[in-house]
Amino acid sequence: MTLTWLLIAAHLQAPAADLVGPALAGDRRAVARLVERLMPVIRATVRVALRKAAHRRLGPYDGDDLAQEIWLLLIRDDGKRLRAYDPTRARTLEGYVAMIARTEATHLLKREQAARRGGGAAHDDIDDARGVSGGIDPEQATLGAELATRLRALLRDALPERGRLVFAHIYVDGRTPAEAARLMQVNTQVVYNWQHKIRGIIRDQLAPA
Amino acid sequence: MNRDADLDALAARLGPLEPAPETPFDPDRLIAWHHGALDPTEAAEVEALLAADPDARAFVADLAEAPSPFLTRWAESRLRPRRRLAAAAGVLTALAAAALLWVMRAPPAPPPYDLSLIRGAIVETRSDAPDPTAELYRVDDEATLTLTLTPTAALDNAPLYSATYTACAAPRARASTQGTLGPDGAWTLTAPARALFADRYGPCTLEVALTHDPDHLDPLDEDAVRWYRIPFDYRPSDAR
Repeated sequence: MTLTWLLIAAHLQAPAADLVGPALAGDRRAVARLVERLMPVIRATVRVALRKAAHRRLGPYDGDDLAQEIWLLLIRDDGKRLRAYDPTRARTLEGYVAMIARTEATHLLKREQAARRGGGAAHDDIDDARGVSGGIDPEQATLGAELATRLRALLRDALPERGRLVFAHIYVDGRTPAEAARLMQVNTQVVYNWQHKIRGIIRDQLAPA
Repeated sequence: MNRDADLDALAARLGPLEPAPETPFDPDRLIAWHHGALDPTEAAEVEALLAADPDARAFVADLAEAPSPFLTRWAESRLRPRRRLAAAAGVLTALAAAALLWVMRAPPAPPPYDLSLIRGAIVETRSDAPDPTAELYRVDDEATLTLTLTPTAALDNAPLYSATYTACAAPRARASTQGTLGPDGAWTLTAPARALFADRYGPCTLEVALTHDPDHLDPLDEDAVRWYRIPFDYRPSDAR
């Protein structure tokens, strides 16, 4: 019984690369497992490229069409691209696929933009404005430039990597502590603790001497 | 400016603490970090990168989101057609084989026949027969039998063949006199009883094989053959 569970666990933990052959041979379970492992990577990579190209906030399904194109590319010719994975070039098949997806997504988006050039409407929203102005929004302009620079330097020096990551998730990207905790795979209380520390640094800086 | 909300608002107006890196992030390391597969030193390096690189953070955020069920099903379906095609090819092969067998199969047997005429014999009902209602035809060796079998349903246009056998306490043997088939499929035979049964007195059966395929006229063939059996009680003539 224990052996059976060990075998099942070993199968569930199998590297994605081991799933390629069976999946391309049509093994339904391997297909499901491979898609489960690779499609989030493809979609995430595509959305990074799309965000850069479009300069706008993405909807939940943005990039799905590009992800489909890249999936077709990967499995074309009996999965030639997938089978070409070399562990010496990428730690995991997922990483290898992400690199392919990034190259191909950039290429596809450039081609799409070239096709639209001359007739496409520009996106004008607050994110565009932020992109054009180099990340400084009107609100930020009201904050004393000197104070802002000083606070950024203080926080950068005082916070370790994890604290800076909490700062970025919450105060740069606007995520909730719960969302940040989920992405960092830590307890929400950990994020609250870092948030408390960040506030303390700012508070101390603002306190009258 | 000591309330948490005010401090948060101020922090949010600061923007990034450091400029984003010029070089694109290494997805391999981020994926490994996402799966918790890095040692603490490497994990700290990745977290430093994440803190500085909005693209890397967006990547990890999207990585944590499950793709839509539609996208997942679609991706799976793109890998399965090969299997479906193989299955379809298998089905087609099976259908082709079945079609071949259908073409090569034995033609169907003609419809059942009824004994519509019998002359030269007396009908008896055997009380000792397995089926008490079964009719038995008593015929003596000086009688001339005239028999007509007619189909109970319309016949195919396919040619019809017949063979007449007798079985008298012995295996089926081809009769010396054969019946003939009319254009309507009716089978008729007129022959002296002695020509059919010779001196093998006792229970005898006249067996008629009707088929569309002459290859199936073997006396032991049951496929594609409509057999009609007429039981006789063959006796010597009382006149002798």
